[in-house]
Amino acid sequence: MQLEVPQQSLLLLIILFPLGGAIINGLIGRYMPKGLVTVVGVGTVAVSFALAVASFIELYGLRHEAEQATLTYHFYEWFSLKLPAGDVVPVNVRFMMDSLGGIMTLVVTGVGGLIHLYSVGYMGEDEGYARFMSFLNLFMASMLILVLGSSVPVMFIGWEGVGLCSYLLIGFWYENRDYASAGRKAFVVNRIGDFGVLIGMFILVGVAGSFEFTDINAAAMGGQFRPDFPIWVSGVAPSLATVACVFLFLGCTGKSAQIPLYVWLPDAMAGPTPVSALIHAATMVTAGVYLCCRLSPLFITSDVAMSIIAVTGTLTALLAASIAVVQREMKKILAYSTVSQLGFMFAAVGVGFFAAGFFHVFTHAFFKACLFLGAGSVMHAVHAHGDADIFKLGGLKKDLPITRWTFLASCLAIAGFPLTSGFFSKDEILLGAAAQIYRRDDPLMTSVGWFTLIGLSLAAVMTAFYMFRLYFLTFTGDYRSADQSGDHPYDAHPHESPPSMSIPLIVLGIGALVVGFLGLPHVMPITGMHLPSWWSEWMHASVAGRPVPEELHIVNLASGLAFGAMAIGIGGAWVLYRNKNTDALTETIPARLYQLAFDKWRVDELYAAIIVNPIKKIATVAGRADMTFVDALMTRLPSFNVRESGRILSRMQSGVVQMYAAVMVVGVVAVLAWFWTPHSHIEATFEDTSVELTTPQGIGYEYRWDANSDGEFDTQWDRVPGTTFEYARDDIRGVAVFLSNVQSGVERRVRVTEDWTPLPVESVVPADLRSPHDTGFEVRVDGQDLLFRRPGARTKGEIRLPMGRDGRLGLARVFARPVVEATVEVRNAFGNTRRATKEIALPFSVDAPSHASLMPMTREVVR
Amino acid sequence: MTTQYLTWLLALPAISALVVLLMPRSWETAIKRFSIGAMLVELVISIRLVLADYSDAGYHFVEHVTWVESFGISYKVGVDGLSLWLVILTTLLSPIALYASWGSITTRIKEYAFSFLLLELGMLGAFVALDLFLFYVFWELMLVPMYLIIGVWGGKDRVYAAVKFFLYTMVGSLLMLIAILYVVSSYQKLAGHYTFDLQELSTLVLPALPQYLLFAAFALAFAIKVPMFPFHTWLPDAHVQAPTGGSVILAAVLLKLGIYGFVRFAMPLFPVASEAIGPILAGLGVVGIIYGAYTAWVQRDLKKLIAYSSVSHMGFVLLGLFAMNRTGISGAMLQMINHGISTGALFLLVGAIYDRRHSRMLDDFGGLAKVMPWYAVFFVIITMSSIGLPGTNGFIGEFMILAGSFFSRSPIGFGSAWFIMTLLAATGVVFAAVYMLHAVLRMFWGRVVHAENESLTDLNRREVLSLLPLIVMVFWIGLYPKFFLDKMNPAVDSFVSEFTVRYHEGRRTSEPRLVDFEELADRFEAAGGLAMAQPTDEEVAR
Amino acid sequence: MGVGTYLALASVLFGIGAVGFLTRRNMLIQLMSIELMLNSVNVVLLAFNRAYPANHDGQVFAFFVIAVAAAEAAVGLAILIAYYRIKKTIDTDDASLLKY
Repeated sequence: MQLEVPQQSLLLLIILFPLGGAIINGLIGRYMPKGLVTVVGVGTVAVSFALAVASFIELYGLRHEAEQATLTYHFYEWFSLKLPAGDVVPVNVRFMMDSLGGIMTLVVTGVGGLIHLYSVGYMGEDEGYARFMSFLNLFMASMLILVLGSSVPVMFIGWEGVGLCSYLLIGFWYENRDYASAGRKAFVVNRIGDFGVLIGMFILVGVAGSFEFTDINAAAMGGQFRPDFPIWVSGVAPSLATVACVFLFLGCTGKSAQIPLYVWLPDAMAGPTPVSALIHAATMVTAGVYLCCRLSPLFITSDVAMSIIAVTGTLTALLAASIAVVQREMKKILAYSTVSQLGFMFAAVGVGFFAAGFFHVFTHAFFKACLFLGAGSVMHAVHAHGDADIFKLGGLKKDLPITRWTFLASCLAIAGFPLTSGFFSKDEILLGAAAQIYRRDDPLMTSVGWFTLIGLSLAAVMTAFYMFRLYFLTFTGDYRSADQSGDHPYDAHPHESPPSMSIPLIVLGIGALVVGFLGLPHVMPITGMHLPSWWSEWMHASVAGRPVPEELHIVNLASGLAFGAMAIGIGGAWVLYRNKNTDALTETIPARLYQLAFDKWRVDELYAAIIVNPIKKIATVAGRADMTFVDALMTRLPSFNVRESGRILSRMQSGVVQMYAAVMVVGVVAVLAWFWTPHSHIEATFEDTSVELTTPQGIGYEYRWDANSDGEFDTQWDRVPGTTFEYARDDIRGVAVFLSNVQSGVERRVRVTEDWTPLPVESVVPADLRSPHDTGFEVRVDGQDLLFRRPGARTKGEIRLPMGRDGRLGLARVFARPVVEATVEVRNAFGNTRRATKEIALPFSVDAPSHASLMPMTREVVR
Repeated sequence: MTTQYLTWLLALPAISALVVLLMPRSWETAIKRFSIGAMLVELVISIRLVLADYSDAGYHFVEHVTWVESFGISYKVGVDGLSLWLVILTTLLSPIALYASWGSITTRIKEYAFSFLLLELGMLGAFVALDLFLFYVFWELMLVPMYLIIGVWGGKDRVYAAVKFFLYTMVGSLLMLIAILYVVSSYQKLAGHYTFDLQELSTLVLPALPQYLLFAAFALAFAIKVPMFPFHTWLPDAHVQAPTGGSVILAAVLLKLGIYGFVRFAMPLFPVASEAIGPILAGLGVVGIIYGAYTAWVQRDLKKLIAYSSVSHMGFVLLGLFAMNRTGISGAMLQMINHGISTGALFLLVGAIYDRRHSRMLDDFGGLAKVMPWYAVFFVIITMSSIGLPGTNGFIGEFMILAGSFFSRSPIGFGSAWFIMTLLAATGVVFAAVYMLHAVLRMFWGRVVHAENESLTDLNRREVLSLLPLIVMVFWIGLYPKFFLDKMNPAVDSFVSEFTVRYHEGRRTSEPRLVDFEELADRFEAAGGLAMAQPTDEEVAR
Repeated sequence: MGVGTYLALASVLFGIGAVGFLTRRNMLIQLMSIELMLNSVNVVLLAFNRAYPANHDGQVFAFFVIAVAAAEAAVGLAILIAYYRIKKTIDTDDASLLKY
């Protein structure tokens, strides 16, 4: 059953509060006292969180009544599109909170609020504090629009909005060119993903006829996305769902930092640590997973797309983990860890366990945010800027107890230590991979399942390993900057952070340990006991998914792998790094491999070589070519023409009189030559059955006519330029067919012989019935009649038109008339003569029974 | 004042120009105030035009006075949904551009104000003229003041740029004149009298070959103005050499006349040719998008960068226009307004920094955000508008254009050539971010590299006042475009349906003839809609 | 003697005059050649008038031609003298000030 509560204005207020805070702090923040900025900045988010809780409670209450409950709020109509079928698709600014959205809103406002609080301490001394708070609030508002939007375009506002905020926040300390560059990189790479979302959006609206998520999902479930995509290249046609999902997934790889568009995330560590925590751990990067979950009914219909997602997720998880293992800086490790964990989430989505993937989003928000804030705390403690080299740290558990314990809790969670949140979420994901293997759908799916399971297990090993490497090197052992030797050592006396920073750490740390219990697995491993899973119960309403297996062997496989991975990872790190001061990896791994991994597998360099630099080169060439080649073609070429031809022609202006006179003489001679011989042409006018032949009068001309061109002149030399004649049967030279176009009245004449002669197509066949090879009609004389045929017609046949009758052929009225020839001889005063002849088609029939009419038109249609 | 708003709209700049001409040269402040005041009155009049009801698709505020009877030339003006917002764009941006000019123009104030008023007259006249001769007069009228503005008050190579601009545009216009005369004489052969009235000439249906040639002639004139690749090379020079106010009005309004000419004249008069050649023009638009973006990226002169970005943006507009559906065309019309606003604002911003540093080269800047924070804020907002961030105006236009082109020419949804073109155009969205953010990075972020930049003052009151209306429009159109689209949509719908009728009629024609389209349209409707062709006369031999 | 003989004479005279005008460089000679051409036209007019004596059109027109020739010679010589005073030459090949 579905239940919808319309016009729940709380939804709008949730968004408006941070937005308002952003505007206030942005415009006048620099003139306000710091306390007021804090109140506005943090307060608005706190209010937003409270409103989110209120909405969630309402939603929770509704869930008892109906299976699917949503809160909606229609704000106003933004604009509308008109689809080719004629429907007008409105794009409304409308918000919606359902099960999925509710959780996400709570996470965004809750974790976000904590991070805002943290920023008070972390960024409080910064000169741009108000600006920072403003951007942070703007980010919150955008993220909330993304989460609460009920249609793809509204979500897209938030999607690009968080991209903008990312740009502004990563490059927050803009005086450092590299940081600003990192911000730009984030924006541009994200934009590539946005391209994918745009195209995907169009496919969605084309099929579903609406941008609203509910409508699209309904269409997907109704099978409307099953038909093949109309355009494809190779033999195998992808379905509409596949193409749409692939494009949307491209957007997800951009926003959620998967292969191939993850390269912006590590660079994004240039921003202040709260930014990394909020945007690049807890919220923005999960937007991609959120989108997939939102459209899960659609994604689930395309096996190909799901496989692509699963494989990409797994590969990303492996790639990023391998880089994280060898990094030396805290935030870098955490950044690659984020990418890797996102890979886990997408792998879960790819095997159809959307709710599990989203569960990992949920737990990841807690422990990753806690880790980043903890890193920030460490950096704040030792006055490190930008990032902290763990090999200059160590033994901080003494000075930073709160940070240490919360950091440890989160490390346990991310590694998947039993009963932590990460344990449950990671378990579910591996279970999904295992389920895919055992479901035995088809070879592709099964092999994807194996790949995912093995890959994620390996990644889990590496995850546990590098996280505890980080933990041990930072918090155990000796503080390596204590003696202030070496280059750029950190502060000799690190101190714990202020409460504004510690409280969020504690809250998040507890969360990292505890929230996992919301999503207990359906079947407990080993014992096989059935456990209640609040999470899947809650998510079921708005997120689709493949069935969770209950067979114990599958569950045990997944859990065993997860547990084993964690044990190996933590164990390895314990052995190599606990209370140690050097990096054992440099000794164990071959140097070249180590260097390659350290350099992020040189992917950035690869992109630069394959994509960025070639495009830049083309652009440079284009820039130069435009000014030189294109411009030259359009302007220099014509001006060169004009100038040179002018130069040549101006030689006529020689200034010498004789030259001018000579040209005049040439002209006079030419004119005289025209008059040497006489010129004439014949015109015929018809009156009844006699023809009047005339020719233009010339001075001193004499005329002699041979009206029927039989060789004998009918008149004598005379000054009169005309004569009349009546033609007889013997004078007829041939037949001409007249076509009179009924539409335009234009008349055409075709001389007809014994051979087939084509008729002009335009006169006969209407334009839109003409085919490209249409040769139209052909006509020939047969005795006394005319025969018409159409070579291109399906039915062969000929039409006969007797002489003297009229007919109708397509657009043309057809009549046949006899043709005669007249000759005139002209003589001028110089004694030169010239003859002119003309073929005349008589507009009447010489033989016709009644030849009183000039252009007889019978209405008979010849068949 | 009765309802003759349009004549007032045109008369006001003409009269003001004369008044300015008569003022003594020394009254500089008076001239400045008067000219801006006149333009603001224009703006008020045009706002009155907006407040009318545009839900019916015909022309509003039509005025018709016969001028040269024997040739059928009349003074006929009117606005409809297609030209309304362009009129507003002109009346909004002219005072802003003129006001902003006073920061950099210090000599020959009187002549400058005179040229600007005359330019506004020309632009407005071209947008509201419904008589071909009148349109041509105003079209040519725009050239001279623009030529003067570039050539007298411009930069180092101003004469070259001015002459180039003038000749380039004139070539196209001359071909258009020949085409106009041919159309008029064709009409005269059939109807017996001469007329230049657009509505009467629209009843003329020409066969394929003449249509193609005539459309090509019109298209050349308009394509040069758009500017469409490869006829765009006058634009970088003109923009770089023109003074700030000239650049603003050039980018904001003059470029729109090309597209307007297509919509108002070339496409209704020659539908068969439009449909045949249209995809090619759309393709060239897509080339322009990518080519413009690429060339913009590597420019070192900021004004040239923005000039090439104009080529890129107008490529989008071309694509949307020839998608030939309501979404694409209204998206294109809206994007024109958006481009006018955002690129106009960009040129104002460039002007601001040029007034301070007398340089536009990106290498001369760096770290300006520290020194001129409000300038940075405005610049980033306009950048976001230019690259189409949702919430700003640019997004709506780009979205509608891409949607229109995606669904073009196919009843069920995807036609392959248009799909490819949409994909390519959408990559333009990425490249736009590349070159604009490159410029922002060079100018604002990083340390202050050059010592001269350390003591620059932030935006002054004049600059802020000239930018604020544009920022407001950015968000108004971005957040509530329905207001603007509702006034446009009936006219666009009518345009598309009329075009379909004309197109089908044109395909059946082998000889020139006159057709009453009103009656034909009714017959189409009665016959069950515009998707079907009218059944033909009896075909005899089958 | 038909018209033809006179026409032949006139053509010869015209030819001599034309060739003289086109080839000679001396301005005086050119003026004389022009006179020769005009006189040949006179011969043609009178010859035709003799052949078709219906009215006196030919002879009247010949008088016109004579008057025009005289006026033209006077003006031409005046220009020649003025030109000579400035340029000190009457060679037409040097008179190319109007050359582009």
